[in-house]
Amino acid sequence: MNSIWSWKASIAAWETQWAQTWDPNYASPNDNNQGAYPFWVRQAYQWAEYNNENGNWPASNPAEQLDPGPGPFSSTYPSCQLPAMPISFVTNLNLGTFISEPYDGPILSQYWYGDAVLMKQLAGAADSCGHNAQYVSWNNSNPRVTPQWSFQKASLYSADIVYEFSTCSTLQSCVRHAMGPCNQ
Amino acid sequence: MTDRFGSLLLMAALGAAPALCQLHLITGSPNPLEPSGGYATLMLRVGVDGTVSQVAELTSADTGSHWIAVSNELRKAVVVPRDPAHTPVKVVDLDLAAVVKSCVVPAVGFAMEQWIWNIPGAGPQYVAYIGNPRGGDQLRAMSLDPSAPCERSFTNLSPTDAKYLAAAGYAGVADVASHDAMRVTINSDNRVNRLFSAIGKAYFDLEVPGPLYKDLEHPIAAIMANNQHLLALGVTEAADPRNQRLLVFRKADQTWRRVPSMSERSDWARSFGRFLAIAAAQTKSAKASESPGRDEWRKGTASTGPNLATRLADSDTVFLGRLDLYDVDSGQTYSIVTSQGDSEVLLIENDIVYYRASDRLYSAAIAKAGLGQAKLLAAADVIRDAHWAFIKR
Repeated sequence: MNSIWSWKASIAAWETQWAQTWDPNYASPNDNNQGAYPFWVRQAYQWAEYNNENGNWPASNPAEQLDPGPGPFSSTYPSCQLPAMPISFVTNLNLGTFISEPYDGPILSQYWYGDAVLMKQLAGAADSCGHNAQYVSWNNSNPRVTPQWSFQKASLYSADIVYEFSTCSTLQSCVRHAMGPCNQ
Repeated sequence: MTDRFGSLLLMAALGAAPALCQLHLITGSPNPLEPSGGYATLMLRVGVDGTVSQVAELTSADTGSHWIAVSNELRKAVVVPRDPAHTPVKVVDLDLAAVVKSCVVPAVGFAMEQWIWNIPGAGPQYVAYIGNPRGGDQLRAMSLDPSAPCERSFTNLSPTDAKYLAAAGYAGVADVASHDAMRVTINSDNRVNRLFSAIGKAYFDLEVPGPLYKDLEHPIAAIMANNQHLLALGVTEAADPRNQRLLVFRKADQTWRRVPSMSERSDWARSFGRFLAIAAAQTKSAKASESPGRDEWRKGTASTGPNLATRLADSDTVFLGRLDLYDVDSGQTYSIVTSQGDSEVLLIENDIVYYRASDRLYSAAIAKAGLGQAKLLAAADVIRDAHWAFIKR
């Protein structure tokens, strides 16, 4: 059974991953820093710069632009007794520096996008369809179209692991998002 | 030659072009938005007998790449790894088919956009628009001159230098490769500029004739290509990527024209001297939801490239399996039908077009009467990941 589930081993592995992912220098992100927070700060900064350069300021929050919400393949976890908690994510952008800063409340159902990126990294960014993507990224790769936020919420075991984490105050309150068919 | 490529050697010497012995390919697939890892960037040589052999590894699969650009006009290629502060940026001299310079970049900020600018007096530069939230953004240049040591190769440029952009366009299909284009704005007075948020504004010596674009309500624009012969300006209605056009400024007589619309989308446009090459594409719809040729696509990923099916599924675009050429001097158009969505023109030189369809490399002569018969030059799995080509002098 140890090879199937070991709380000690799992916690230790997560602690290691957390230490690698969390970077206290998130606000001075370099190309080489692939941690969740620096990645997110880079995305938010480019989003802010693009909108500033193109007169779209203040720009709408990523969630208002494109966030599709919890995955469409949701099904209630068998033991779930409670309806899913409504949650939302914020950029918490400092308008002076264009740095997206960690959000600590006061609204308990609001989370920082940096934490969403971190949660998905910890769960594994790749999904079963071959995507290896962050939870959210600023997609400005095609210069012929308007840049937009790109969400890839699925991981190997869930259609929306971040939503599962965020609604999971107890096991019974988890909402399970079953994987849908591969989009390819 | 590595064992891997030893096993990939395939014979396909079917009437190779005279210059084939010098034909080289560059593979690569930048993936800066993925959490980790990447794909190897390789320089390959195509032999007269159809063999494909590795000349150099420019980035490993572990290192991955952030950006790749090849300027056949300036005879340089630039390969930027994902971690350029620790793994060097490599400069390839296309005449020598060799790496002639390797420099790590200063560990300051992060690259938001990247280009090659050919600055008078200073020569070709790899320029990164660096975002640096607490220290100030920069237009950081690295000289591509191999005689300049790395410690004296980095300078900060002024936005006014942006008019020296040397761009060749968008390589690959979907987002499997990269581009060296620049987003710009067309002012109400028809002049083209680019604002670098915290640095300043760049003005280009360009005035676009209003009738070529003013029917668009909110045009967004990008300089897709800029060389000695032409400047190509892509213009799109901001809210509707289907409503786009490609305008070209012919430098010989300083005139603008609209490239004939051969397909709905012209995002994947590249320049080779006086030619523009466009991978015909259209926005996905219920009637056209998948690019043709799926049976030939590699299943899964490889060390040199991503899972194409996934990338095409994620794209909003269907690639039609046709490559269109436009000669800016004559206005003549040509079409190459491959019936394979994973197709692209890799090079046009001396009136010969070199193009890829899935894992096969072809050439065809370009004449006034039309295109000559296609010749299969080579076939190998790694050709799928080749998105640039050049001829060693």
